[in-house]
Amino acid sequence: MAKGFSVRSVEIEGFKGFTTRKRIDFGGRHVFLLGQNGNGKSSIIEAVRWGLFGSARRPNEIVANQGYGGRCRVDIALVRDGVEWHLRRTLNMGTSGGSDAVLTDAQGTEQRMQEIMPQLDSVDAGEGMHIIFAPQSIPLRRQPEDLTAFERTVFSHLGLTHPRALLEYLGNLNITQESTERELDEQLTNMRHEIDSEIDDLGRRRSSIISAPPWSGGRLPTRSASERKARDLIAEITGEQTDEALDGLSLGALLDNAENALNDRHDHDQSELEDELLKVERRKEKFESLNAYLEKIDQQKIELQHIKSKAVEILNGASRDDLRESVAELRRKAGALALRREIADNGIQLLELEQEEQIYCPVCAQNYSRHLLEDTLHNAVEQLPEEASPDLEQTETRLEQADALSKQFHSIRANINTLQEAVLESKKQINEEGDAELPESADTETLTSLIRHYSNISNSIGEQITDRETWFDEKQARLTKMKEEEGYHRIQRRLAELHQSQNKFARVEDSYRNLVAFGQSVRAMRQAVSDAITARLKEDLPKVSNNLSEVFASLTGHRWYDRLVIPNARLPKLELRVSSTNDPQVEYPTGVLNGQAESALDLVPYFALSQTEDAPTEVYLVLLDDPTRAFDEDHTRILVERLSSLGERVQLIVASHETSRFRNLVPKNFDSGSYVIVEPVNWSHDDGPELSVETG
Amino acid sequence: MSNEDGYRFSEAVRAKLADDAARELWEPVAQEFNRAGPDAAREYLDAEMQRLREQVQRRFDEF
Repeated sequence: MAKGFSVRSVEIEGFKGFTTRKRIDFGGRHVFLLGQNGNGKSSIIEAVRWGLFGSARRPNEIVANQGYGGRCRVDIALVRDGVEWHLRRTLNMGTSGGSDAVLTDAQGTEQRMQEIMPQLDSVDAGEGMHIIFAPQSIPLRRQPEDLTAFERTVFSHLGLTHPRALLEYLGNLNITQESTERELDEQLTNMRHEIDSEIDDLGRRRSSIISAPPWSGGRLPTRSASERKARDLIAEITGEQTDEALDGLSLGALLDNAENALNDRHDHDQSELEDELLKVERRKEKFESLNAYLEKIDQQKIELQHIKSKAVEILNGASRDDLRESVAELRRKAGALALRREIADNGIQLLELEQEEQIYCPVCAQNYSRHLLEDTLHNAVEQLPEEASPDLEQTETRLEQADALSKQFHSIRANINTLQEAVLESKKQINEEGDAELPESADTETLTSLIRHYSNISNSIGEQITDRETWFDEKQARLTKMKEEEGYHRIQRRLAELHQSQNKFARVEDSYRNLVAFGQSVRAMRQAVSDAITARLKEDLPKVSNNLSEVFASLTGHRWYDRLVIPNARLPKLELRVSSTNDPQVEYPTGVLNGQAESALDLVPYFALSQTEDAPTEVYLVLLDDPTRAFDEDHTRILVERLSSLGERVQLIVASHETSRFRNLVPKNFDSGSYVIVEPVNWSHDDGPELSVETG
Repeated sequence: MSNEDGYRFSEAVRAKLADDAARELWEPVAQEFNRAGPDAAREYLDAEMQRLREQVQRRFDEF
């Protein structure tokens, strides 16, 4: 057997199907784990694998026996040059699935694994060709590096594991780099766009200001000149020539100062004038109101005089009582006349109704001649006057007019009284509010004069207000222009800042270009690494394919598919295909093989590529779990013969449920004393398997 | 893989690099690869990329 560590014994506790600690002594020999499935064969293979590498067959696989209360640990005794070492691996508590491995030398001193077994420490199970684990079932997922077990084995065989790992890393780095470049490119493009847009925008605004400049003269103002103008403006507004408080202020602050001063001045001056104007106007209104009262009183008095004249005319020396009595007398006379006429008319009607010549008078109790009576009555009627009171109507009219005038007279007197009271009240108010006493005798003439006086004052104040407004508008216009001028300086300053930013941003872009150049170099390197690996593969793969084909043909004895080839088309990707010497031009995917040939295919690389003496790790070991799936007896025989040959260079640990076939074939192909047969039996939940160990 | 294999591989890659900048980058990468394997080369490249990214970020922040 070749030099290197071999497994002398393994001690298993709380791992998979094992509970209490059990030790299996291999003595450094080959190991055949036989017996029915479910008794713990795979647990032993897995324990060796986990003990060496710390990785389970599948990610997240639970290796601890869940029904066992103790620790989960595997202690492997390794021997090299007759010296025994111990590698003890213990599962960490908790759910991380991590483990700690301790390597001790023959003296029990702890040694660093990286120093004693640097390669074993750096590779994963299945990576080195001498550390082989033929899985009982197809792996549930691909390797994280996206390499198949076959590729890992071939790369390892050709000594290209590290270059291949570098290639994989460079590929991942490219992806990260491209993502970073995209992210940064977007950021930089946005930033560049923002700067350029702002410069364009400010340029347009600057041109717009220059095309209709707020300053006089053709030359562009300097900031200090603008500041001087702003100070002059403040001095004009405040009326103060120098103000030390303004020293050191920026143009914007100076203009704020000017605006505040202008507003203060406006508020102060204008409000004072407006207050004065309001006061004068109100006083004038009072006088006008008072004057209106007095004028009204005068009008009323004239009216009163007119009424009096009319009354004198209507009464004509009499009084209203006299008229009233005259009317009553006249009405009485008129009534008596009307009654006489009615009586005469009734007598005539009575005579017309009476047929007798003699008419009896019940008043006189005498008879009167009808004719006499008729004549008497007619004479009486004729003698009655047409109108008893011809002046009645006229007198009544005079009385009504006199009454109406009297009413008007009293009404106007009442009005005059009310107005006089209003005059007194108004005068009182004016005297209370005014600066000077209004004479008691102030008449409309006086008032008109006063009103004219106040109108003049009001006009004068109005003119002052207008003058101030004009002054304010002029200052405001200058201030507005100065602000525009300040806007020009602000744009100039911002443009200078942005040009500085552009320079700084160019530095950012430079460093980004460095990063991009780095990415391009990485891509070029990746391509060169890929090309170098591909060149090596093209050189070495024909020999590998021949070795694979030879083992494959002998293991399967397939009548048609007897060659394995790795096409150059997809290198450095290694794709295994099958072919036939009868038709070598056509290559097929391995899926065309039958079950036995496909099972054999899993083993082919390990047999074919184990010819080299250069082991990738320090432990010369082949682990095979159930390698004869779908094998018939004949092919099982061929496999065991191959294992015998392989066993000359490495230690074998092989598990198979083909107990009788192996018990028959192993003694025929392996030297006595070179192997042990371990048969786990009677597995129980509490105690795990019982172990029967026979030395061959 | 022995150091000798590493050197041979490094030279093979170098021969295939047409780009001067990439060849310049490959020199320290190959040195690390030959000295201590792919992990060391990886660390070098990671650090270089990190350095360049930080340079961009730093200048961005300054900006």
